[in-house]
Amino acid sequence: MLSRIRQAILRVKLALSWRGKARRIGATLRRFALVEADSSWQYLRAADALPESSPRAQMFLSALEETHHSALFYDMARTVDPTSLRRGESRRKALLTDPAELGDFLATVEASEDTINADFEVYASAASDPRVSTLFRTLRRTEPRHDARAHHLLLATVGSPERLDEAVDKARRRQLWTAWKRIGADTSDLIASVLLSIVFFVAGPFFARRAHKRVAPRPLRAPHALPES
Amino acid sequence: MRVLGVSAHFHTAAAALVDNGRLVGAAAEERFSRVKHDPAFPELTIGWLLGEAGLRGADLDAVVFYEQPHVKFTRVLASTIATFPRHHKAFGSAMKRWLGDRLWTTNKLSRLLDVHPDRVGVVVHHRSHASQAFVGSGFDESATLTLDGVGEWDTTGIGHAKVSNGHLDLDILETHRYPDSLGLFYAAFTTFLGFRANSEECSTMALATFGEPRYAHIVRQILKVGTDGSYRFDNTWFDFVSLGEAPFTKKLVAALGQPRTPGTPLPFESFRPPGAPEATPSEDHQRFADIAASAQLVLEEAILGLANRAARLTGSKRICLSGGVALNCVATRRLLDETPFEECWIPPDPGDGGAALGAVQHVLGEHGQLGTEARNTGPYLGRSYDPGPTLAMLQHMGPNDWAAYRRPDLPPADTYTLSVERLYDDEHGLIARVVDDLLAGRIVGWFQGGFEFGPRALGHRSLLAHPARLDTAFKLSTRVKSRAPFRPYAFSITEADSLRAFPQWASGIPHLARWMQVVAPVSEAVHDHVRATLHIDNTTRPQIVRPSDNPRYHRLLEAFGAKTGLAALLNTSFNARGEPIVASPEEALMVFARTDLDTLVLGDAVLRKVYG
Repeated sequence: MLSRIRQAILRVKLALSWRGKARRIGATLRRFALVEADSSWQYLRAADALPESSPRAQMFLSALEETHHSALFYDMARTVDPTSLRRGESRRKALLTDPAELGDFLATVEASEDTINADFEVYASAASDPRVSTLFRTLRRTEPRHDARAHHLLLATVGSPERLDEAVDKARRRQLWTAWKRIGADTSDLIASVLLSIVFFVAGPFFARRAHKRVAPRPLRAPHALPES
Repeated sequence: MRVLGVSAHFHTAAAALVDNGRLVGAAAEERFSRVKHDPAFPELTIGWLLGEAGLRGADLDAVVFYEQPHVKFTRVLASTIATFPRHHKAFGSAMKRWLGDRLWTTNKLSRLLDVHPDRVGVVVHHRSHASQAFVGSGFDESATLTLDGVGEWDTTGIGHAKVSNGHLDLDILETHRYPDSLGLFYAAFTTFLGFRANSEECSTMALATFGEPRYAHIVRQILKVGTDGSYRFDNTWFDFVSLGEAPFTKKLVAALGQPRTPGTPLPFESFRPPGAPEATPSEDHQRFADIAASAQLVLEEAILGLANRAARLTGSKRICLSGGVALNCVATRRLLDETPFEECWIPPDPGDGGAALGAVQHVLGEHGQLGTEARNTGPYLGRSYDPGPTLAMLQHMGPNDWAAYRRPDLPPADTYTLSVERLYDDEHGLIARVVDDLLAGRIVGWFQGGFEFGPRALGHRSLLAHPARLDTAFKLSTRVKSRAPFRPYAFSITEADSLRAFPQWASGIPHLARWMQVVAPVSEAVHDHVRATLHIDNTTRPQIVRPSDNPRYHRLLEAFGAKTGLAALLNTSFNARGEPIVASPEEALMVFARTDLDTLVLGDAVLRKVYG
């Protein structure tokens, strides 16, 4: 249910923001490139934390695949909007640092992939450029590859399908909590923007002249005069 | 004394740790986070350093941040309000960043590391830079010159430093302040030319070689260099608050024409494969090259002015440079040739990343604890990895598994199988294998020991190739690195053979040539041996390798020289497009899997693609 509401909101948002605006489509694609790159980084960190070579190899292949997806998104962003220099910001926070947390990590991967797959279809439908639609649909078909790797590893890690379901449910609850916190952060960000704009436009005129003086070029701070040559 | 130094929040965050005189390590956060020039607070690097030293945060005697956040905040505040109401968006986003996080950096360090607030301190930005420049030089006294974008308010600093009995005596004699800034001036031109500010200044410098400084008379109005060596920046031409996007004003566009659209091709080549037609730049392309040449010329004039001023102020015969502008190796060549300084030193990472180490060195110098190791800082300060687990992983996957993930912009690969040889006690065999591959025109990824601190790959995370083979260099540019064709490569050469390439240094090889920090013309006698690494003016940015600098790499160069007559190799950074230099074996394997890199050496193991 929540997922459907989310997708409906996304559909409306994309219909409004993407219409004929290459720059915004490019920005979305760049954001996806960053998300996929972050996912690749998470898999690499996970591989680094695992002592056994077989799961490590599985993590590495998933990292490789996510890097590939990131490159596809980035190349498409450059095709759609070749003039932008923006890369976007990316903050890293490793999901797995201790091998004992492998189950939680894999459950999070499994829960995330379900959401992403559904979202990709919405993006594919919203794109008027067939190259962008094709990209989302192609990736939607290939994303299940590392989903399947994560699923098998998760099953082997937790021991039974029932425990797997429990772990994924727990991961979904964590995601909901994270999403709730993000809504909170976005709301406070919006409020902060409004308040700061008010401060800027109310107080700015009083301080602009003084600030201008502060940043105006001024004589060299030179306590030591040059010796006579 | 245990001191942790941290730099963050502007450009390439980093951390460095000294534990009772032992330099545990120093690294940029980007190597761990894989975000190029990552400015984020370097938690991953700090975690590695403490783990490496076996310490907890509470064990540290001092934690030091490389600048004064509260002073920098006043500059950010003033610069966004000064142009009221133009920068209201910039004001909002800057205040959110600063009030939400950056202003409280020392509290954050205290909380994160569980260190008493009294043990957390700050060093003035330019003192961090000057310490970093001087302390590692090995000089007893020297002039210091910091050429930066901007710190708190200061952008350029001339100083004089001395060290005796472990005490650092550093006087910053004079400074230029924001908006007079050589770093921001060059970054703004970099944006005008369609490259990323604070990232692709090297492209501006490379492009300059294809142009003539026809616009120098205009650029000299923007950056006015006085006869006393000081300079002034006229900020009616640029708007630094919008540096990342379009920092130029209508006045600049009226004088120089439209800026270059990012991503459009620039048909200049430092080399091309045999038989390929020569690229023909249009008038507009030439205009961009001419603008780059003009900005480069005026920057050099400003640096020469400052260096001469520093010579007169300090009376020293030595100078230590730092700040991001010190990476402009064309300008440093003129500084060596045209100023009274006999010796010049630039640390391996002269930028903000290196300032984390500078802040540590400053604190140690204040406490009289600058011992030999803290002063002798080479570039190999990053984390080293055991490639064993990565090699074991290869038993569970191979080329068939990764074929689908080849970089999408590359043509299909030739089919190949993977050969893995482990040569643990056979360095001679390993080197012989690599030399054979290089002679056959294969591109080799060379991964050894701890990664380099700073932007240069110096034989621990390097891509190597035959320096005479244009076809290999072309393949490297198009099928591994995705590098703009106007950007030249460089080479490493043994000290013994270096004078054949650089006879001008017969009286002494400059320190700057050890770590690729100066551009120099290459003699005609070895031109054919290294032609794939030369820029169109027959210059290169050499790494002159001594046996003690990097023993295995030196032996590789010698073995290659024994076959070709010159112990030199094309050496470029081991990374993929848009990514930082690789840190771990898995990251190296990823480049190997996704590109046409032919051979990968991971410590004592050689991975080869066997084609056909």
